[in-house]
Amino acid sequence: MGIRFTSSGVLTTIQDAGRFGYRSVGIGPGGPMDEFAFRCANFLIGNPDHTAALEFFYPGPELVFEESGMVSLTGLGIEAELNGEQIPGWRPIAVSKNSVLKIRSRIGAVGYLGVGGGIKSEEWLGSSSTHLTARKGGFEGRAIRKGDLLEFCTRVEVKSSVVHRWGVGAKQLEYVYGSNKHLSVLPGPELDWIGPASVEQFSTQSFSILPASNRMGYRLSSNALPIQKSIQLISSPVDVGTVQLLPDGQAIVLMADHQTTGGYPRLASVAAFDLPRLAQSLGHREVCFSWISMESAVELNRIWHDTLEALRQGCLLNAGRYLYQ
Amino acid sequence: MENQTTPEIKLLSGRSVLITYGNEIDLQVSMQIYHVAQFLGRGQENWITEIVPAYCSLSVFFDLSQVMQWCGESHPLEWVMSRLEKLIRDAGSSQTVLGGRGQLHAIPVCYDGEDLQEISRLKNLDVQAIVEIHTSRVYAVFMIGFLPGFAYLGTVDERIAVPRHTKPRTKVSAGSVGIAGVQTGVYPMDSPGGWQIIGRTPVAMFNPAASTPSLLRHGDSVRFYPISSDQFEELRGH
Repeated sequence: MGIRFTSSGVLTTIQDAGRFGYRSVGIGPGGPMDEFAFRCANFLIGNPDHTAALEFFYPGPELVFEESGMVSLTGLGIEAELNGEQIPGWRPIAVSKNSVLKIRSRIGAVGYLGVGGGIKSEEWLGSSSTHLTARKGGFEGRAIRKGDLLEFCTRVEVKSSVVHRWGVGAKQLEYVYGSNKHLSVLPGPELDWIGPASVEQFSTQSFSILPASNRMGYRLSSNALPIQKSIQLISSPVDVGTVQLLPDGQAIVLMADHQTTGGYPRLASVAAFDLPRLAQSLGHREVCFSWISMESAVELNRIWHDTLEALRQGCLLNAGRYLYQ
Repeated sequence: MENQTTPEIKLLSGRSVLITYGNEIDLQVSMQIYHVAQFLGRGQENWITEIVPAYCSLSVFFDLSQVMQWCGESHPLEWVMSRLEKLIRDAGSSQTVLGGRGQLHAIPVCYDGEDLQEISRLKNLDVQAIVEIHTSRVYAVFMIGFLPGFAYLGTVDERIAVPRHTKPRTKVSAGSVGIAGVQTGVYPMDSPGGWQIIGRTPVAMFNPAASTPSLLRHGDSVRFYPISSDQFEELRGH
């Protein structure tokens, strides 16, 4: 008993905060594409931080609740239909048995379904995140398919479905996603491999995100950035947010399921607090890069963590007061 | 250790630093990186969360909130870089190579890969000669990347060094042994791949059920030895 998928969506996987400590043997952290939406999905239903949730790209899955539960839906622009009725995202939702949920979105690229008490999943090397290449973790190490049943860890009795009236506010969503297409970047180790004119071009032009993007990386399209150095980089470590320059002069930003090493020049690194906005820009929004200093990187990071912590505290308080009675 | 070169230290991201020793494949540099990685990984610097060694660079991931506890009045990211500079100097003057030199692995290979004939033609060598040359060296694990447990081994004798396929195969089977330039390696799992395949090993390079799922680690060494296809089947059965 739990949730049964009547449609899988394009790519639906189980993700927790990620698998850390194995980069040196070629296993990257994985984890959510949009850390903000993922963490809010847990905050809203009073789950311990980093509890595994369901991540889906749009069009999202359709599912039936074979038992009742307390859930949350998060993600930029997320919309859903619960038993034929339009419901908003970013709020706790009590769902009765046999309810049908259809997930849609006007904008945005990726969303999360959090389940109060968590969903049963396979843990691999300390994490439930699905590692699609190793075929480990999450649900049988693979993406969800039509007909799959995900079981809940705890039972929550719900007589009739209710969308709670509180949730993540418009102000917080504006702070994270806004309409600002500028992503904060720190200079990368090989930035000087392109000339000053290209550095200027990199931070002034817009980039569109190609549909060939996925959980490993977002491929960008712009006027080509010429490489001045003709030497080939010997493979070296990379991180999520690393902006690499491909031989054709186009850039790629490494995302959650990136490989641990790479052989392309690293021009820049997108700050962790701007990765949720980048993740959600796929398919509908261009992006630009804005250099930030190390000072602002640390300061903006602090504000980001304070915002998350305030949200977590607020949700915990409400969850304790209004949910699971 | 002697003959230390001073690395360049740069930010890789807001939570990782890249330490670079030039841009060449060199065993001395690799050993230096191994030494530094062991030194930094002793567990005394609790702000360090992960160390990722590569060919001629290594990255150090850190926990910014822990750094804040250490850095006092300094700017945290500047503190990380100057602290690493000091630790690398200390590692240089420390005589002992911590944790030895890694393990030596003997890996059996059935040399019947689909690209052997092509390499034989390209390099004007018979298959037996290719096998002898490939098995004559002890290879160092320079880096693990691309796939979980995929070790980049080197360096390969120039006489059998062939470039990777211009068009990668959509599926290379787990256990396939390949060559790409002066690198050699074993595919730990089925994967798309462009390396020239010379053989296959029955040894599992990647065991997801183990707490250390990769057979090879940075700093280990590998020697290949030839087996027949019957021996391959027999060894795989175990």
